[in-house]
Amino acid sequence: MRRNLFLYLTLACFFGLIAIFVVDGYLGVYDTLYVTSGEYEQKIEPDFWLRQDYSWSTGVNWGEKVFLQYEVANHQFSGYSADIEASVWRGQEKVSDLGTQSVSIDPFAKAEAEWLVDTAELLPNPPEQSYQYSIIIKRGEIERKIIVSINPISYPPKPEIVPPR
Amino acid sequence: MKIEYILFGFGILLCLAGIGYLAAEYVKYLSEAGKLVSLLLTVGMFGFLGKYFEELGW
Repeated sequence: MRRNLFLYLTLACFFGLIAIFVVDGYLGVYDTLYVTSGEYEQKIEPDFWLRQDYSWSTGVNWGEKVFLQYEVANHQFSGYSADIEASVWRGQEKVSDLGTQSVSIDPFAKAEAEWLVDTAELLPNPPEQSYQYSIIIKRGEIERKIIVSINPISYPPKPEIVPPR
Repeated sequence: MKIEYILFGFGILLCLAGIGYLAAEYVKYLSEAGKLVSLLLTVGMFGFLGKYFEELGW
């Protein structure tokens, strides 16, 4: 009887451990970023930023727009509020502010913030080479970085006009 | 016969190493409170398992 009790307690501790892994992994504030450039939508899952302090890279043709959708999921028993700020940088210099949005999220709810980056505004003239810009999204102390390569448009070569003789 | 036991032992060691590695990977992403509770549960689990084997007469 006493022997079985120890076995049950061992099993209870084991299942408790599994439960901690599942519940602790679920609880918290998680952000998912959707980057749409051209016809492609890329989904950047929260675990991408957890693994390492990476930056996400994407490319867009000059003249097109990059649409950013930032989703914050509050998996906590209390509410969550934050200011989400997005800006475009080149090198160490801020090029433009995309705007700041305040979000207040109820427990176990989601909120979204959206921004649009117009490449023609960043580079008014069509570039002859590729340019890279960083889009930095700040939520409190958390920073997400997306590197956008603006590619020149490659038109087919125009046929030469031969002057009439 | 002996070689079989050596292979069993090797297999069990590999299993334990794999479980240990996975647990270490999981623990990295746990909160501080989660780590503490996990540690207590692990200590409890091995403690009760030890008592169970003790009762068995090992």
